[in-house]
Amino acid sequence: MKQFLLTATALLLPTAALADTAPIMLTADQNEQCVTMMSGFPDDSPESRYVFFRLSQELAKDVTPELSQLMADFMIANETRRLPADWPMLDVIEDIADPVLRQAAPAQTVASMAHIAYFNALCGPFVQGQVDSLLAFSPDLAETDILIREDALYLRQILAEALDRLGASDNMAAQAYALSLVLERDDIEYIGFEDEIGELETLYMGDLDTKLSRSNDAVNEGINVEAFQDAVELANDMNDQAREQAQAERLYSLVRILGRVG
Amino acid sequence: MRKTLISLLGTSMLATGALTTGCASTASGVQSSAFVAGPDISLTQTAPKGTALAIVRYPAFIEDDAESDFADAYAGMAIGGGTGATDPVETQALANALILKSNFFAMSLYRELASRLPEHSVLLSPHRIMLASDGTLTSEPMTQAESIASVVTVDFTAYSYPDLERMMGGKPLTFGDLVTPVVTVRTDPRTSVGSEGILMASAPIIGAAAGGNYAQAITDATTMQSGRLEAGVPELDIISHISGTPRLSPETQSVRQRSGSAVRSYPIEKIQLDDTALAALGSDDTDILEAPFTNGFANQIISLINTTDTTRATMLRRADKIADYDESLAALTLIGNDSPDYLTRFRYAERLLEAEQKYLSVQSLRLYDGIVNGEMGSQVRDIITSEYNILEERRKLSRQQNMASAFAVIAAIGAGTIAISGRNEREPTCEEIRDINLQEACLKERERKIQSCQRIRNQRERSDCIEEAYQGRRRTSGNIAVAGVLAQAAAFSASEAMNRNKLSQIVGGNYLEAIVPALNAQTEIQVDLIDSSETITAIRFEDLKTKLAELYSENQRSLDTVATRCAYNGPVEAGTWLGACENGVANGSGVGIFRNSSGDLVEHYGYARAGVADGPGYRIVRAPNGSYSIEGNFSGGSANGIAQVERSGSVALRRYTSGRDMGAAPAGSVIASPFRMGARTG
Repeated sequence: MKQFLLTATALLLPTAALADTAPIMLTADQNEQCVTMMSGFPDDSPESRYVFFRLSQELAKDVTPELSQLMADFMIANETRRLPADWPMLDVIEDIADPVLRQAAPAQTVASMAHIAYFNALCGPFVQGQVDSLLAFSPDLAETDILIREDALYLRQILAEALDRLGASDNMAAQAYALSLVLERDDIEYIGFEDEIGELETLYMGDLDTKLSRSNDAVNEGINVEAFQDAVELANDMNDQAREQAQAERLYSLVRILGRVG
Repeated sequence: MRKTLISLLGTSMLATGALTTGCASTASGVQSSAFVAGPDISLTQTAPKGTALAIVRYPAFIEDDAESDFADAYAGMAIGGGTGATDPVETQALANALILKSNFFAMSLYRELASRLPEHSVLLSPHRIMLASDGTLTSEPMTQAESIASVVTVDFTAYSYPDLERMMGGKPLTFGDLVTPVVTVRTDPRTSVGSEGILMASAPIIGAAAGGNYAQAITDATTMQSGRLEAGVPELDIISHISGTPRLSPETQSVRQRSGSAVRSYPIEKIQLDDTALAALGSDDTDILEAPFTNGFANQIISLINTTDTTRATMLRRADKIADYDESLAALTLIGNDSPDYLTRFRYAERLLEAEQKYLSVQSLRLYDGIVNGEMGSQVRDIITSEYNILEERRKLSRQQNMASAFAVIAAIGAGTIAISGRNEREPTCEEIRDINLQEACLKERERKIQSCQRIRNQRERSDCIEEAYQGRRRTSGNIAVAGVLAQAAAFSASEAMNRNKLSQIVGGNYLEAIVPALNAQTEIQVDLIDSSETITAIRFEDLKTKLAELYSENQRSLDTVATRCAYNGPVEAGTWLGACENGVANGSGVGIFRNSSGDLVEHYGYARAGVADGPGYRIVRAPNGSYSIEGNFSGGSANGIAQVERSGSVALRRYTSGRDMGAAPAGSVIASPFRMGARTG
């Protein structure tokens, strides 16, 4: 049993190690293992595939090395069986959501989440590749992100509750995780708020633009285009008159000057 | 002989007259502005959410009951020297033209800035010139654009000297192909305190701009002292200038003088638009002011935005706006804090400001569209073209005047020289005279002389007479016929010069006189457009704000600490603290307003404990001779430690102990700042 638990710890530790590293190339074995773990993922449509890939990503969010260590400690302390390394992710997710397991075996919830974290650390680049491909195929898939995040938050709250029930409330890693859930909830709610404001903006800005455009047209139509031309003509007439008068004065000056000498 | 001398005397007087009427100027300008129009400067600054980067303000309308006051002030404080105007009707016409052109050319600046800065970050704010409740001249925004916080505001006026008679001289002019921009770039008076928030201004109005911002800062601080967060809008600087900044008290008038050295100065320059671009005006959407002025000026504005502290420049107006939705949060946003409950709530509030900003930016865009495009823009372009034609005609007349003046002077000198030269010298023959006009006059005179010689009976005398007529005779005291001709030519030329000058004046006057109704009509149409735009915008804006407020209250988060109003224990008397309070006194972040021992109004942004400043703080003292700021650590209400002190024209690091300045601090010392998120201490 001890050996098994040590293996479980060993299984979790790479999660922490991998968590902060850049995407890596998977070996053939790892690749095969990832494929096995995703074996239960639906393949009937891009939408459902996208949901599961993204959900597995979201579930592993904010799992720090400290939290991984804490989960490992609880599994050892509660002698919890680890899940087989190639256990399908779909089953893991269903286990977390299972209300009976949630109530009766919080340590099992911890083990399930640890498995998800492990999966994400190991197969992260693979999953990201799948997500990118699906988005390239259909960018609209991103619109479901908010729902996926809400579902993931629900499952992550189950983990937080499980940790709490196992006595981790004073642990800093657990507290940080709980805070991250609060921020995630705020973020999700803000996106909802943002959507509503966005709709208001579109409505009001569009309406204002249309009304102002019409108002501009009405004002422009009401312009007396002849008033200015009349003014210019009047100025020209006055100037012509002034020029004639200047010419007369010129002749008068000439006569006067010549007459004065002569 | 006597007759000729009198004629000569008259000629020289006329020639002198011609000289005094001018060497007439042909009203020219510089081909491009003093702003070097180099490569476009990129924006490196990010404005807080819901904040504009620039608001362009301009005079758009004069209310009926302010018209005569405006004309008087405009004539009395003419930019370019002197007291201006001689004819009130013409001054009124020039005032109307100033408004119309400011409306039109301000759009050039808006267009340039809007194309180079992020979407929704540039707004237009037309101003209405009116009489304040105390009867003094002032201006107020016609739209709500200035309710949005902005990193800078830019005042733009297309200025003309208020005397038509000086139009062709070197005085500032906006007419035809000439544009004289009078501008100010200002930020909020809570930042760049040493220059009262003025970053750059046209040289003649620097003092008025600084005075206007200073007066506004005092008003804002007094309002805060009464418990309300409110950032007012200063009047247009051109109005402050021509009205003598009546809102400055006698004690604070020195702000005008002192600010001169602290602000980047822009000389008054008459910009001459490219005549090719002017000829094509209206045929495409080319902006005729862009190349010679706007492009370079926009570069200056962007560079000023890049170096302005956006947090301080916008904090009070943002807090003012947030107070419309959430008073508990408003004063806390002046300094901000890192607690999640505050950050979450602030994020929602910021989004409301952004929605307002976006909404009002639509109005600016449509104002631009209404003024520049369509029939309205077309008419202004026609006016500019028509003015250009008038100006060209006056230039032609000026050139003719100059030629006539020059000829008058040459002829007068020539006549004088001949008249006073020695008796035995031979006069030049007609062929020896180089000036074609004089030569022509000489030939005519010779012809007349020869005909006269033919009447002499004595053949020898007749021959001598004819020879003398051809070869030029020896001068004698009574023989200065050529000088007489020259005198006549000089007199006529001088008369011509004056005639051209008079005609030039008449041409300009006639145009303005005739165009006044059209200018008024055009200005009224623009006012209709702005008023109509504001009515439509305001109705929906109120509605939008109500909806935003509902949405905000539905999503509101609780705050651990809320902002209230309580006492700040000033050194002389109790002041006001807006922010976090405990047991009725300041405790936490916020702003305190109080009077120091000299009686100066003081704003303290930062932290307080047990009623006095404690921790990082930013203190602004509004002294009568100008504002100054101290930023650093405070304890027991006084500066304590290294602080940065900004005064008019200088920024220095000083050491303080219990409020006493102990001398210069070592270079590179780090100061505590309440605006630095995370580590706020130095």
